[in-house]
Amino acid sequence: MSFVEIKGIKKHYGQGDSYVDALSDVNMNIEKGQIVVLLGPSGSGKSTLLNIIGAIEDADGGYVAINGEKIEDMNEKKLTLYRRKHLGYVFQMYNLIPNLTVRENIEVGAYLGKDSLDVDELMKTLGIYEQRSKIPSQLSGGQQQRTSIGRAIVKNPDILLCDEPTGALDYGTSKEILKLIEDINKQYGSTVIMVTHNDAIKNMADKVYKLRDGKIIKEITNETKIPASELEW
Amino acid sequence: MKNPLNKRFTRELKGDIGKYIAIFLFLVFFIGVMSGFLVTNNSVAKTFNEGLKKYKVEDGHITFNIVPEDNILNRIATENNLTFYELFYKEEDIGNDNHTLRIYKNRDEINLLVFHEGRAAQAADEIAIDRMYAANNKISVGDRLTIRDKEYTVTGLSSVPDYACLYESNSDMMFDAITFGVAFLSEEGYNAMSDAHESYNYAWVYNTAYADDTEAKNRSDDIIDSLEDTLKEYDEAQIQAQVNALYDDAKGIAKTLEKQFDSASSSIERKIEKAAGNAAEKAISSLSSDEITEVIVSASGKTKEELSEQTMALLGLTDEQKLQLQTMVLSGQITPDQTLGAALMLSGKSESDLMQLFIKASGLSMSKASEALMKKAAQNQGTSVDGLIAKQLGTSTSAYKAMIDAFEDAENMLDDVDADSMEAPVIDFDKLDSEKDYENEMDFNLDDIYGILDKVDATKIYSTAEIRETLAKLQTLMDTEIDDSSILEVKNYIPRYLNKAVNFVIDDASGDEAGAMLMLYIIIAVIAFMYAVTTSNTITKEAGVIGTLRASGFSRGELTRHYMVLPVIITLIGALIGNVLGYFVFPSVFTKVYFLNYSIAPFEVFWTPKAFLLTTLIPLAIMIVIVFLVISKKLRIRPLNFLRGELKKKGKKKVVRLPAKIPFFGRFRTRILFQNLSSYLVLFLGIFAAAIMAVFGSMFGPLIDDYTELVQNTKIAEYQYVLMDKAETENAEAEKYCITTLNTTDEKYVMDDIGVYGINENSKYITKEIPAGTVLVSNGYMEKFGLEEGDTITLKEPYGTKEYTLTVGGDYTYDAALSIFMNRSDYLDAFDEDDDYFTGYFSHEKLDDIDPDDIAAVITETDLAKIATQLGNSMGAMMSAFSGLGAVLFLLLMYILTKQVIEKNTKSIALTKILGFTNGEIGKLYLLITSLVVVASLILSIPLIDVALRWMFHSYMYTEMSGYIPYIIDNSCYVRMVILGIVCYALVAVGMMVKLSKIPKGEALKNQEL
Repeated sequence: MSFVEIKGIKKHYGQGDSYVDALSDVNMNIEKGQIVVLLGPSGSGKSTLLNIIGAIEDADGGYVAINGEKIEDMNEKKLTLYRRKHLGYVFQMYNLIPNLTVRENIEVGAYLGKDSLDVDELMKTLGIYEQRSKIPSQLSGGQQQRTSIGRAIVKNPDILLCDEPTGALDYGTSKEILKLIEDINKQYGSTVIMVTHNDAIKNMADKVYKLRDGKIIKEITNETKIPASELEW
Repeated sequence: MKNPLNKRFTRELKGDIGKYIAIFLFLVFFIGVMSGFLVTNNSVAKTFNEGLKKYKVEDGHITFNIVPEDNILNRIATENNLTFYELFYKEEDIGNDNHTLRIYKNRDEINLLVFHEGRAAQAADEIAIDRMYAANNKISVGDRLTIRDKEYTVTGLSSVPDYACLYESNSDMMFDAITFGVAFLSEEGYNAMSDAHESYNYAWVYNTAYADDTEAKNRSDDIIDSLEDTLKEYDEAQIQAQVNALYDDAKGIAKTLEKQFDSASSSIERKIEKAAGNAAEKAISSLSSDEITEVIVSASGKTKEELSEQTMALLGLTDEQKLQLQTMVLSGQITPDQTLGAALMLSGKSESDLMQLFIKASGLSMSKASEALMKKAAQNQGTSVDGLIAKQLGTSTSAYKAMIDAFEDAENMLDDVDADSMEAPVIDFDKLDSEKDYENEMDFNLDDIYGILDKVDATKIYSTAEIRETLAKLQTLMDTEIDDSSILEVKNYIPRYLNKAVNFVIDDASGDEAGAMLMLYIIIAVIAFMYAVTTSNTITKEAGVIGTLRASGFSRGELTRHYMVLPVIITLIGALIGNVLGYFVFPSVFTKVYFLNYSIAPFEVFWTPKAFLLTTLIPLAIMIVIVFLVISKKLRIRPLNFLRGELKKKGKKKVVRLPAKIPFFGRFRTRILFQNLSSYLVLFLGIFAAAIMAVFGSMFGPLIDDYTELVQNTKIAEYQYVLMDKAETENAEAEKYCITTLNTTDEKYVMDDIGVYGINENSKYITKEIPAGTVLVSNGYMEKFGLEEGDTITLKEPYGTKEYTLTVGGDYTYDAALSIFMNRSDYLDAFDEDDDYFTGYFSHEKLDDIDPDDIAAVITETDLAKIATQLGNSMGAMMSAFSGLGAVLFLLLMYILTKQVIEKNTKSIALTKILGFTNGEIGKLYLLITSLVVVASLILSIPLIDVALRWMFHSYMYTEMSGYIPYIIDNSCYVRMVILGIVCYALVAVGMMVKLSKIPKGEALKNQEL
């Protein structure tokens, strides 16, 4: 049994003429500690799949099981606990709390975890320790995304869900963020599921699922991963 | 670990300090005022309840028309287990402005005096007066007052618990501490004062206290029953005693009359007999033997021979004489015709003996024979038998005949009259409308008797003077009016639980308390909605963050609590500080208000958990519930929708298409309107609430002026005299009227006194025609009770059970009091009064020829408008407070919600700046629409305020308060409200323009979430 088991996930939007199959019979098996990249163009269904894994969106069919526990069977309260216990989220637009400092934004994540990481150590790891007293509007995009990642991983989640984490960043900063994610994966053993449309990023993954029109068109297992710092695009 | 989100609170506070300070200060002030109001109210209530025992407050009082006998009071006291205390008073005018002082003796047993300044009256020329009346009329200790031309020195300013509120009458809508006051004299001073206007009032105290108003009512009902029974028995006995005495006198007179009639009858009969005998004698003697024989023969029906033969037989001749007579006949000495004469001679009897024997032989009675003979004699003399007797009596034949006929009538009459069997009627008030309706029912027909006496007198054979004297005495008895001055009546009866003079302070406080709390909760609800809207906008602004937090494991509950913390904490702290101020600061203000309106004993302010509950916990609960409902609903959206910024249902997300014809600015503003609909809705509701306060606070000034003018314009007369006794006037302006007071019976309304007038036909004072059998109803009565023409109304007598059902024939414009006008004839019928009954005069001139002691009251327009005057005097400060609160609420709402709109659009405003819009243009875009909403809200509020206040008048003031004041909102109140709102908004708009101009262009370049 895989750590994350995804079976027959279906999802559609709209009705009648506007009916769109966002996901059709998607099956995945993700092992603990893997970096998995969901790759595909806009509208391929990768973000939808990530949201279903993150239990913030319901599937029409199929199920997602984390460590054998199906999230479809959970009520709202259990889902909240599930997210709190297992998941960390990183978004393209960071979604930081504007009137909290960097440290406090990360503490928000720490507050949710039972065995949260040391916030100061983490900020140092993330390279934002110097900015710890700044509020998000005083940070660069990269710093904001580092803060966002810090908030996501400080509670030491089993799974780190990253939705286009470099989508709003420049090349250099993107690489730094990807390296950071990679480091976290190594250091904390977090399973990383990352959505991207950047084809180069697939090389840092243990497993790559290519999606198009809501279907997995290709499943790649990288025998040899390229470190994030060496990625080129 | 503490929730790091908590660190946002202080920054959120700092970031929006203006909003929070404004709300906080408003809450502190508003809750402080309300708390202070409650604390003061409760302190007054506590003092009132403790004062019931401390000042020995009566449980009620009864006023009688006369001093009742001790046994009456004792019976009522025993039956109802209570104790009476004499509390007589005299009412006197004071000054020239129709001021009335109700003057009592000093008290030491009941309703005890409390002196705020000075001391009680001790000498006969000293007086203590009520503190409120003194304050309103600028009377101080040491001043001199003139009452009934006697001067008194004011020695003290006092209050008494039975006039905590200066109601002259319990039926007055409003108390009157300006023209009515109570005063206290020493016993010597009181006794020296004229008792012309004295009322015999008794306070009572139950020997065992009652538990609540229900028990008080039951006991009061028992007293009324007891009073009715006792007074009925007493008053019936009073009347019965008078009637019995009359009948006893009448009986004696009747017996005297019987004797006098017997005597007269005997005397007259004797005279007639004698006259008749003489007449007969004279008549027979005037007849010849042949005439007599002829009359007797004719009357007997026998032949002359038969009579002669039988007469002969009756002569009783012996055999020898018979033989001798036969011989004389046979010898031819006598003819057969001379046989009877010869026989008479032989018998030795006289001619008269022969006449009697002759009559005897005829078989006629002596009287018949005499009558026949008298007839013959009368015929010979050309007269009648009666004429012969009358002649003997020395009177005329006709007078004699009339007397004889009268005697027959008198005999018949006397057969029917038996003085011994004359019984006085039993008095039963149940058969009367009123105790005073009893009239002397002794009714003998003396005319017939006088007719007989006249006939007797006409004969001049007997003098009836003595009988006439006796009859005159009887007539005097018949004319004697029943003296109703001894009838004991209840003039006034008020149990304490209904006595406004005692209870109004507490009732008003509790009524005001309910109204004030309602106002507090409405305002708190408005502020809660304002919080909810601003927080809701914050949630919208922070949707991405919330989505992330939710996706990261924050529960909806945690986030809901997070967003609720600030409103709740600010409300809680504001309420707590407000409570502290409410206890330490504001009570002194409200204590002044109390002392400005009521004549109450001094009281201490104390804290009460009730005030804390009502002004802290309940507002907090309202805040929590409203904010929770709105925020939790807002946060019910799924995390993904937050992340996507989809905070509304898809169906609502449709963009409203605006016609291109609308100028760009118009469309832009319309978009802002749509975007901020919830804010504007709350703004409208808040403006409506504030506008109600502003209008309510300003309406009474013009209302009082308008009402005073209405009263003056619709008054019946310049002077309306109410008389104590019938008193006539020579003044041609004066027109009599009748009035009585009845009570309403509609249980939906508090009981009202209705003045029922009886108006003369063709009255020059009530000029509208009153349809026969119906009544005109004053416009205030129609309005208050929702009456229409053709309706029937049922009224009852104040201290009894008799009901009157009247048909409304129309309305009559008379604003001074709730009144009914009926035709005088209908009035007299309805209330069973005499034709000459009246109770007062309408007059356009002062009536100087009426004794002041006969005048109970003179009502002028000053009296009629005193409700308005007192309302203005006592409510002025309160109304100003309402207006002030309205203004503050205007400012608060407009500031916060306008700021909200600006902040929500900060990025757009920055962008428009980048695009080249000037601050003025941006202001037109973002402030003008809010300005329009404000103005529209102010204007739209006007009809809604009218509806709300009209509803309040009809559902609260008209049902809970006796009397009437018209519902009038002068247009100037609306104008002032709109101007106030616009001025408040102008201040806010200026501040917002400054804020708007300071928004940096860089805002447009920031990420959406920042």
